[in-house]
Amino acid sequence: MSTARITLPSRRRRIRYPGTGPLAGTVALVLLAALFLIPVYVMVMAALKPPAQADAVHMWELPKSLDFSGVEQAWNALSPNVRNSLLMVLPATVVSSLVGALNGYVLAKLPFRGSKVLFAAMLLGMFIPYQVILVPLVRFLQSVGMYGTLQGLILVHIIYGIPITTLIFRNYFNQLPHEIVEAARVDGCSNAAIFLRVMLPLSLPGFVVCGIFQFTNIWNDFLFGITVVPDPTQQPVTVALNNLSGNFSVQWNSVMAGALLAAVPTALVYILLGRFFVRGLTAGSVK
Amino acid sequence: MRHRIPTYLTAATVTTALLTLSACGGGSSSAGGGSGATAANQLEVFSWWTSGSEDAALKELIAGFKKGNPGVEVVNGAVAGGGGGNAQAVLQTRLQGSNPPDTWQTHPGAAIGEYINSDLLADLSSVYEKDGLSSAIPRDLVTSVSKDGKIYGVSTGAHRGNVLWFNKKLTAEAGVELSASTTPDQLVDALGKLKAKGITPLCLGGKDAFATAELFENILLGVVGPSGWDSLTSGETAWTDAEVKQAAELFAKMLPYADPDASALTWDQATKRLAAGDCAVESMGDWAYGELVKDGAKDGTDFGYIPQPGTNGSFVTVVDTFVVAENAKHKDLALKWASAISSPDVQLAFSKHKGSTPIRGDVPTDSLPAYQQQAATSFRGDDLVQSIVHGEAMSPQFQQSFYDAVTQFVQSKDVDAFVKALDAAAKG
Amino acid sequence: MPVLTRPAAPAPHTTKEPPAKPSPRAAWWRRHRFGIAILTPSLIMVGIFVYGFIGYSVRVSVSKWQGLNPDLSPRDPLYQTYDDMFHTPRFQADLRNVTVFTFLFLTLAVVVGLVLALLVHNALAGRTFFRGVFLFPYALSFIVTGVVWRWIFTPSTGANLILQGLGVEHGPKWITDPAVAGDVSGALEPVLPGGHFIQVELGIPLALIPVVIAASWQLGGFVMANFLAALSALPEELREAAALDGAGTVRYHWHIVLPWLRPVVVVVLIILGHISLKSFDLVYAMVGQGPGFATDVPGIFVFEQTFRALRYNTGAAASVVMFLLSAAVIVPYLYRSVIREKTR
Repeated sequence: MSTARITLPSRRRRIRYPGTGPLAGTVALVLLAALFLIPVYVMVMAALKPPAQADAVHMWELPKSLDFSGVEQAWNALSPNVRNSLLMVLPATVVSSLVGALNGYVLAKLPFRGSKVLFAAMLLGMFIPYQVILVPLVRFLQSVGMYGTLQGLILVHIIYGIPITTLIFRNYFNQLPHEIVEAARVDGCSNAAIFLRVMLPLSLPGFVVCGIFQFTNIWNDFLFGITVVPDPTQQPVTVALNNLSGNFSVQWNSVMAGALLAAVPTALVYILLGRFFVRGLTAGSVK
Repeated sequence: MRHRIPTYLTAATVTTALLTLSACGGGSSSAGGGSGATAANQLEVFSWWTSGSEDAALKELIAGFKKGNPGVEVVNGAVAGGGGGNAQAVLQTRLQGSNPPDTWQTHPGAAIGEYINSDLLADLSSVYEKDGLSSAIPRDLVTSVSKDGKIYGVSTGAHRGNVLWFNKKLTAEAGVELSASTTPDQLVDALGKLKAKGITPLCLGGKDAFATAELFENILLGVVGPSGWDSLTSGETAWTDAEVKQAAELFAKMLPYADPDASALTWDQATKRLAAGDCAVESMGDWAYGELVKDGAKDGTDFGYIPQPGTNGSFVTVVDTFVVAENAKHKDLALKWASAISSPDVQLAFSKHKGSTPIRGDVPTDSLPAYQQQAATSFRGDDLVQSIVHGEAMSPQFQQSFYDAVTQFVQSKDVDAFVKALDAAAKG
Repeated sequence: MPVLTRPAAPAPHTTKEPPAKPSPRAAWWRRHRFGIAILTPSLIMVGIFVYGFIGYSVRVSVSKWQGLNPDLSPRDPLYQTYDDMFHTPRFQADLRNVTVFTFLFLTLAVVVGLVLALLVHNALAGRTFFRGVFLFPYALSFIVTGVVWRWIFTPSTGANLILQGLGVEHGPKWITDPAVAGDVSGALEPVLPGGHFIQVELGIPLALIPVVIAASWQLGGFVMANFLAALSALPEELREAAALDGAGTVRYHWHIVLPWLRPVVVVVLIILGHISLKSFDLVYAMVGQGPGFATDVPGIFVFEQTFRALRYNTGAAASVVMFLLSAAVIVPYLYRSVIREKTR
């Protein structure tokens, strides 16, 4: 199949855009990036100030002198829980994306009578408000002996991720020409083989989007993390981040530093996955 | 096509395989859920104290417990955020799932009553007997954690809810005198004078509903007095009573003096503004004291405090209380915890950090800051009044309706609709 | 097992062709057993964790359960909790807010995401950098970004200071503004049956606009990522052909790029829609209920009713309404997509 061509993204050829100089786009990008970074600027500044200065009144000011006590405090509080978060988010993201890819493949390329209704029912599941299902959820996990375990938490994230990952992949596979499947079938491929050898290699951008979404959502989840896993040494990093603030007092420098630290793994994932936003994949395969 | 069978199977069982795997993994780390908290020599303490002074105060309790119980591991399951809202969510979910922490934090009165009425709590009478607690703690406070002769909670400290804090420089600038004998009407006049000087008169952190509700609670107490408070909260007096309307009108008179940013500020930001001289007067519980001195403001020179006008001689209690789960996994340890945290030494160490008043009357207060000494005097002599805003005097249902009615009133200023809403909520 | 050991020699026919002998049922099964085997575990899980739990919520919502003791005895009449809830001004405001918020947020986030994607996709240099910058907000916890945005939209210390620097003396009141623009409740009252029970102004609460901006900032990068993925699959030939035909930028985008992205827009709208309808963390941290419930949303209502007020039945009722609201939004999409696929 076309695997060889796929790993080598076709060299981008830039077509002249009549009417737009290259400058206009660059200027717009730089301006938008600056605008997007304003809140990040506020966070970074607050993270580097002593606690008394880290508040709304001084939000625009540069720190008078750098103070790393907030960063240190955040690091001490968060680092033990980062491992838990990774142990949770990696399997949950990979499995839920794979399940989504399989479901999406079936729904897009092997539809049967009633499959659309099933898809609809699955999709509606995304809209369940999580606050109200906590009680039955905990009872269920307890009855199957998974309450309080990281595995239980992973399971919860996978299940509530199914609708959205399925949606992403069904849509993605829908865009791929049906002829690819037909051609592979004529070649003698089974349904499973078509998925593994044809669809999977073509679905990198789908996995990128789905992975970004799942990784971020699961990483940043707080509600499930705190209710399913009561043991503080087993909880994900968001719970530790939340606990940097108290009920009646908050030191914003450590909270802001903590939020930035907690975002690093996710940001790294974006950068790593971002490489796969290449084009010409489908084009290469159809040819 | 050989690999067809394996792929077929693998694909079909991706999710189920994971299920089984994780189910097996669950058994190895712990039995029956709850992770590490099931080991025999562990005590799980649940609270919503995670940061700064709260965390330090909690650590004093833990240290006090460990002194008498060496070798016991204390699992500090504190959950922050949302004014204890996140902690509530976790706690209730666990209670519904019959998996309570060994001991957790709550407030006396209606709040603890919810747990008592649901048969979730262990009787701590033996702790009170053994340690002679009943004689050291104000009778009202023992009653407020008791039902049918059984005592269910051990309190560590009392915050005072009805304090009016003010920035001394600003009040002096406007020629305003505030003292314990200032009346509510004089306060309104004072706010007017401050405003005339171009000063933002009233600090208010209205982003979370409780701070505005606290302001109204204090105004209300100033109008009805402690006995009127009791008859309102017990249901003898209806919420449509003329005095409640009078309090609402007073509230409506003060609101226009509030910081225009109020709804964007949390209570601690508002308190910081008071310290910085951006606004002059704030009605807030005495946890504000810690927030004021944290940034270097000096008691007596930079800021002053009086009981909320009209409430001199009353002490609105916001009490921190620990309870023990009836079906706690480590009930014996939890009972020892209840006993340890009520000793005079531990209470004093706790109060130093928390900024509250020791519950026990026999704890010497001369090592505490001046404010706390004064609060302790008031606590030991004044009428103790339970807070609605903090869920002590009225049910959680009413508490929520109280918040909502206040939020609505701040915009509408509709006194009749306001008292009607409260009345309806009180009648359930 | 036996079905699997069937000789593979004759290639399975294309789906259209009727198989030689076996009964239609067996043929159907053979063709679809793979798909059914794949979908079944997911369906079971979603069945339990979504529909089972929703069923439980429905049951709680018609019960008398308030307080910590589960009391599932039914209310009389059954719909009483819903009736009470719809009559409270707060819940009415919540429904208004979530509708307005969803509409504005979806529009802004898609526009922002589209603009970003087109710019990044066609950037001359630094695509990785810009992609990272625009995605980064999405990596941050909603709970903390809410606080930052609250600071920015606090009138006396936030963005208004920058506006002052630019010469705007009196900036907007942002999140402290209780005003509701374009109130139509007066006009609706005579028209709408039961219009008199609407106790809130029906319009756009101005305090919601900063929240829309914050949410679009946070999710704009994700929308961009979706569009970038789709753009990466856009056949190069189309672009070459368009260039050869002498189509300008505008025409190329209008006739080729946008239609190509349309299915992605639908997915994005559904994902953003579910985030919007359930929005909780960001709104809670940023503004809470707002002045006069100007920014309150059903997610906050459910949380407070359930966990602060212990009104389990009201919390469940509100969440059932949220779920139905979502269904009302999504079912038309599904219906349309089914029709569209039939005509293909």
